[in-house]
Amino acid sequence: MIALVHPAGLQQVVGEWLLRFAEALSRMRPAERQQSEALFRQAIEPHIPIINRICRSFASTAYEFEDLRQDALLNIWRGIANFKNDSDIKTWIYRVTLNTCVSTYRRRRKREHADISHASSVPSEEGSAPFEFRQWLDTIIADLNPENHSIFVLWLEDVPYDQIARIMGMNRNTVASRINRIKTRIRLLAQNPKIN
Amino acid sequence: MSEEELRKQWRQSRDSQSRDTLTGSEAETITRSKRKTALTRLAERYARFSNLAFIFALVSPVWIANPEVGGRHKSIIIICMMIYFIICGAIDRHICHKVRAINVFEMPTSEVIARAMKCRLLHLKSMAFIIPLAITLIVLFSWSNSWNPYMNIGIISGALIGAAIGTIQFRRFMRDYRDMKE
Repeated sequence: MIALVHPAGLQQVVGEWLLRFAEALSRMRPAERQQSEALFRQAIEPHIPIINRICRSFASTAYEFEDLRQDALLNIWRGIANFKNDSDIKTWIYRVTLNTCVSTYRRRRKREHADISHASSVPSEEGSAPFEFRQWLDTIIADLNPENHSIFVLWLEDVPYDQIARIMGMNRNTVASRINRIKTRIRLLAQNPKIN
Repeated sequence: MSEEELRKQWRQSRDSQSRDTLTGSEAETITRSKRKTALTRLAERYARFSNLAFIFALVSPVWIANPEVGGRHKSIIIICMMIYFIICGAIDRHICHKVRAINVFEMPTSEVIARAMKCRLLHLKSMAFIIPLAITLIVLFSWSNSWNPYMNIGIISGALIGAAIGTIQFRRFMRDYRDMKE
């Protein structure tokens, strides 16, 4: 109170406030912001296909996919400043993307498992997987609970078991046994699509 | 199909609308975005409902000044209303804190799943507790004003509108929460 009343104190308070304001303004300088944006793009651009595949596996519609993708990219941008270099950035991106998808996860509507025994091997787009296979894989993944879904997606991404265990916060053996169970299920379904 | 083939097919699977690069304008949209994630929206919804409940609790005593309302049990009913709204506000605030505590940057995925599931279960359990309480309060209110048919029409209309709004809001909540298979 004395600081506000006494001229010298008032000057000090105003000075401090001006300094803080100037610091805040400097953080908003266009050049610095552009630099951060460029670094962000550089850091995550190689991993965009991964983010897309993971978000797509959790979404049941195109709108949902866009929603999840935007949320994941937003979380990565907001968290990248505090990213500690104790793990690989790729592992961190996997974790943030999966966490974004599972934090508001919806189990997709159960679909009839497609019969892939006579699936066409002609790709629907050049270089992309046959449409029947994609549908079939989608139905398998949609039936899994969020934990198994995440583990399976990481396995499909060829992430080592140790890293999967670290991302999931599980024991390596637990991860291995779950992956084995999912693989067995896929084999059974591939042989007999009518098994649920 | 071998595991390698499965992985190869997975990597090749592509949504026709997905983009494998991040354009400059898209990056700018993200970095300057004021958009909120689904989790943030969910937490804010709980906070909003909590604030509303506490406001209703503060405003409830105003009914005491209304001579059209009540009968002998007016004060008891109003106290019950205040307690009901305070309980609702406290539950919503508690769930809001739990949702905000989910840290997508650092927590392992299994922990995020467990926490999100707990929040959803808490929401459903609290509804199982709050809805009968609300019905009891409405019946009590209606009974204490049984001499006044217009008041009863108002109570029933309010209950129906409240049920309709509550159902819509519940569906919005669940759209953000989504189902989880145990």
